Amino acid sequence: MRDVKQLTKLFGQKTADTVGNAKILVVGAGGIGCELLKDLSVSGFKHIKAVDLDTIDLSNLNRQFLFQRRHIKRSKAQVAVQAIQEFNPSLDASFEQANIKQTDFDVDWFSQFDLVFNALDNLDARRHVNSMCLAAHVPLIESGTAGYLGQVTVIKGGETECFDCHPKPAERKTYPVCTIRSTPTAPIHCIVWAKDYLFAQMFGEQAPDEIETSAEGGQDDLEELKQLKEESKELAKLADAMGSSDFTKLIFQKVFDNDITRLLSMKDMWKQRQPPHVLHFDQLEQSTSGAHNLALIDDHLPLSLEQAFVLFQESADKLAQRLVEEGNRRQGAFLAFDKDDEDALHFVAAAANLRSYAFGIEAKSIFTIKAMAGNIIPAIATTNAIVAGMMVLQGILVMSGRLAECHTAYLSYNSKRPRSIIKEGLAEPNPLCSVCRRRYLTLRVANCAQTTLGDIVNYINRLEGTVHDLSLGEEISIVEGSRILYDFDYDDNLQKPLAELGLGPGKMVTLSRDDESSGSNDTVSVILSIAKPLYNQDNEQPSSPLSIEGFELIPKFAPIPKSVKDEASEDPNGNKTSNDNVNAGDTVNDLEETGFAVEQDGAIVIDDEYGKDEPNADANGIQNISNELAKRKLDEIDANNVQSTKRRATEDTKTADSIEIID
Amino acid sequence: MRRSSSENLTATDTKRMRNESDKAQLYDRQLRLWQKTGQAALEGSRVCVLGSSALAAEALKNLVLPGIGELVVIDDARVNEQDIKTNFFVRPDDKGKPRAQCIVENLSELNPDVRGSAIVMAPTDVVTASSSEQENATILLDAASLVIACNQPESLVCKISQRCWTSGTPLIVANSAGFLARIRTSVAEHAVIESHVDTKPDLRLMCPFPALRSHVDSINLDTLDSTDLAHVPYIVLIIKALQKFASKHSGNADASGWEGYPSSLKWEEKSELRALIRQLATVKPDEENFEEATNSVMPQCVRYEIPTEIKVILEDPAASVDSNAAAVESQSNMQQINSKFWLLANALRRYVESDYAQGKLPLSGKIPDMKADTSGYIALQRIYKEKAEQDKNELIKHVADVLTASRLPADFISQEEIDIFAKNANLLRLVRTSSVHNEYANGPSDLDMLSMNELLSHYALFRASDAFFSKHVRYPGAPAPSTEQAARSSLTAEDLNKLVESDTSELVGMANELLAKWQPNNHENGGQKNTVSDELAAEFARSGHCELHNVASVCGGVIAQEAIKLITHQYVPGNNIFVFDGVQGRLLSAKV
Ligand SMILES: [Zn+2]
Repeated sequence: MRDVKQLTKLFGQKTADTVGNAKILVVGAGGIGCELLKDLSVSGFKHIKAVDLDTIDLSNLNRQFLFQRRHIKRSKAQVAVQAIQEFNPSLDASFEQANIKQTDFDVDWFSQFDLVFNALDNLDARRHVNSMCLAAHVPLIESGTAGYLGQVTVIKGGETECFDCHPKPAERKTYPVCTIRSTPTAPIHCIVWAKDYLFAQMFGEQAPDEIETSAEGGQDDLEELKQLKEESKELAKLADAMGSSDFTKLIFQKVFDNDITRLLSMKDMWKQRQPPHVLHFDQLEQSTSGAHNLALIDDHLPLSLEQAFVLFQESADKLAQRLVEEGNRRQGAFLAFDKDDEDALHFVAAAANLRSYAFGIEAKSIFTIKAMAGNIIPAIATTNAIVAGMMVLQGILVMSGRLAECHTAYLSYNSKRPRSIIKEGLAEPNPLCSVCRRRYLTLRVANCAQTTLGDIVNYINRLEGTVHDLSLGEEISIVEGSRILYDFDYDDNLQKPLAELGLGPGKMVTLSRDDESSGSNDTVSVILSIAKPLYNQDNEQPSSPLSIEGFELIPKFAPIPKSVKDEASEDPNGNKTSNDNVNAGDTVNDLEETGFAVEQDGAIVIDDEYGKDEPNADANGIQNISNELAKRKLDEIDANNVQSTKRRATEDTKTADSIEIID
Repeated sequence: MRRSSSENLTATDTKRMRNESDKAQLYDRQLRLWQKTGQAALEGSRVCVLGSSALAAEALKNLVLPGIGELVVIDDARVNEQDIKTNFFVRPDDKGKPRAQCIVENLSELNPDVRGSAIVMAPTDVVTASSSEQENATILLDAASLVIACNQPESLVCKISQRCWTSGTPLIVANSAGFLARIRTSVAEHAVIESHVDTKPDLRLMCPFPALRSHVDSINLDTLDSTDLAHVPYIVLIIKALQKFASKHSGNADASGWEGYPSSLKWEEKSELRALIRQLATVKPDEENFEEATNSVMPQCVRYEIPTEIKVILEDPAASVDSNAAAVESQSNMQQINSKFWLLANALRRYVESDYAQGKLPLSGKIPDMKADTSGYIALQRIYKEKAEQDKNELIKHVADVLTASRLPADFISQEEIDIFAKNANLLRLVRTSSVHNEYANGPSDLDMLSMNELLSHYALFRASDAFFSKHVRYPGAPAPSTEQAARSSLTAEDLNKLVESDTSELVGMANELLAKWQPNNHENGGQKNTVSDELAAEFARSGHCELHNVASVCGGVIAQEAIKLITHQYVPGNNIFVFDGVQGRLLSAKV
């Protein structure tokens, strides 16, 4: 058994126990994930779940040390968890080979964890986990590395900056269609053309042409776009010739001869620009016959025109052959560009370079094109090791209730600095953040095939004037991401069941005041996480007071933005309680510790409905989930701590314009 | 069945190519950082480690993964209960086995290309060499590309340091105590050609070379329409404006502007130049390229000067002495890197002093991305590249001269090496640290920097902890190693607390004594006397010098990062001492 005495020695028994009992989620079992799982398993954490959809690739092995060659193509999450389990057989470690964005991982699923670690490499998934942790009110340790650079921070809803508090630069740059298809001026334009247009059209999934004909540039652009659509169609037709001996020749002549000739005919286009020139297949074939051995291509040197020509033919032939074989096995087979697929990479590199030669643009090496086409971020073991070690140290601080001592740490490669890790205290949430300065509520729906969007709207309207008033006013709008589901002018969806709208457990919708003045700075909005009803363990029946609508709304310890607090204090129902009440019972501390209340906001909202109507109601259900944690944490609070917590609560209520509603 | 020889050859070739492409794939993400040259240096390296605790294992993990050539671990410790808890590279059933062997075995699994070996021997025996086995270990140590000493006592570290210093081998000394750790790097001399330092591009705007001049002359801004004007690269715009500036100030409005072309601008002249640039924009003044031009005035319109770091290298006596061929040729590959650097620096000095270069370094030939049309940009790119090529060819002549003078073969330095050197002439770096044995004997050389960078207390306590060990043969807060097993089981919590308490006060005393010794003039200056905090000392003693895995993990990352920089001779090593404080999450560094 590997027990960690050091932790006890250095941090105290209570922290060691908390850490040992905590349920930990690690999202991502890649570069940072492997280090993190190792560190957790050696640091006294016992209950660990890892989620990762990826499988192991050769290019992972220079840093993802829990994997070896024999594991290639196997699930990262599985192999990583097996490795740490082998090291420490007493661990309760489990894994899911799944996309963290999949809907089974709903707010209830996230709620089971005491701490979540993000070890992801893409913004989209990091954003998603950020909002799920906000919805489930679970603290999140966030991380990222790129080459020698790294970053670690702690996110706790309502108390710290969240991942989305400040806009992040887009991961991928987008280019105007015309630059890519007609007037490239830089190597990247040719690479994007080769990968996203030529490769995708030839070998990819047959998708409708992505060009929208609603150009802003007036008649000329419209004309050009029409031409481009025509080009794509012709190319799609050529794909039928795949497998025939002159396939590559046909493609070559189409894109480097015919299409360029047509571009040249648009005289206006080249008034201000250097015109491209046509590449002739027969000429190139003659000049390369037998002379160019592919083995002589150095991946690190720019391709010559002849090399690109030979490589283009060879890789196009190989890809075509693969696709034809695949097509014989199953209908609708296609290839997706993968930077680690040599044939695909060679095809894109060759095509991009040929286009560069045609347009008088600098040629690039295969090595460079791989990074540009594959968005490769350099990655090494050392940075991941440092970042993961810092993450676990932060995690221990969070688990021992020392959030105030946590920080954002940046690892810079300029190690001449006196501080190689630059440390900043955790920042306050951005008051205008559209992600964390929202109330997160859970909407429990028994049957998404029956409950309609209209039912939700009615339900919310009925809350008006009660203690649960969401303060959204009479007119609300409902959106999912950027999709509008309902607003004052758009009620087409009201009769549709949620399921038909693609809504169900694991999804989130935002309710906002349908009021033009509110704009994007509207902090009154409420985000509803859709979830299944909580079942009573005894009789497998929804234990909630089933209303006619068949759903219930659980305002779970939502941090209420200031403007809402103001309105709440004017609540006519007189649910306002005095400060004495807060201090009277240990309930408050209990609640604070279980995460039912957010003390910084000083507002504690408990849904009275469940307590009143149903003794066995969901509020208790939730309490059960967190009971163990609550007990542990309560054990930890010595007399001193309780006092200071109380004092803080009192001070907060005195200074802040907040109220506590306790049933 | 018989195969023709040509078929055989193809098969072998294919296999070799397969292996290379396999490696390229495996190391792809790091090749992006240090390219093929860095990888080759790593694969040719041998790292020798004294100690096999979690700290050593974590550092080695980060070196085995990117593919160092060989690792040798020297230690006689046997796996105990503690190791099984903190060291990820020993297994639960390894208890009692030699720890060096266990970690080498487990680490080797991470990368089959790395040769690993363990020498089960007390690290202290390595420097005494009384048996043939010890002699072998000493030879291994001397032949290492890099030595790492993890949690070794001060007396041994001093001896190792002397040895490494003599052979020119870089040394990293690391110690950890609970949440605290110290990492010290030392290298007598370390040359970096590919420093990857971010500096402003060398564009020669204040001293345009002939080809650049005639290119600018060939462009007539007055005939361009608004679209074309918006595509003129800012390099051209600035030079045009500087020409205007010159003709304005030379009092001759007809002059081309090359006469009296300024070689530097005063502060107020820069504003004047910006105004001149804006005047060039006859049509639309708010184009991106004009903005790039006005923004580049501040960094680019300064007198051409060789950067200080490069001047120091050129003025170093080593850049003026011809090498001793016999000595250079007998060096290991690692040692030859520095020797080659000095041969090249010698050639570079001759180049800079030549009539051709007139005090300037070879041009790198790189120009940054800028707003421009393709043909205009490519034309500029070609002009800079051609000049860089010319400069390099000129430098090659001087390299040949230096090699001849040193009686070395003409191909001792390859064309590729000269090429990389010429491209990086503006970015060269030379690192010389103090030696560990000198520091231990005389105290840190830069006490102020330690104090300013807030790690003096930590530093003093680590040194005091070393002194404590020298005196008691145990670290503060830890029972003596001989009685450790027995002591741990019989020690009550109260005993331990008492031990920690008394050790803390002794440690504080020792640390303050050291501080007083290092700053004898403190009283005279009337300055604030530095003292260590009791709290931090207690942290030391409480740890009993035990290892915490997360601290080992972070520090293993830092050690490996510095080791990779030293082995690849790429990127600039950090300051020579790092202190990690895991409680505060701080990684501090300074020079000692
Ligand atoms: Zn936010």
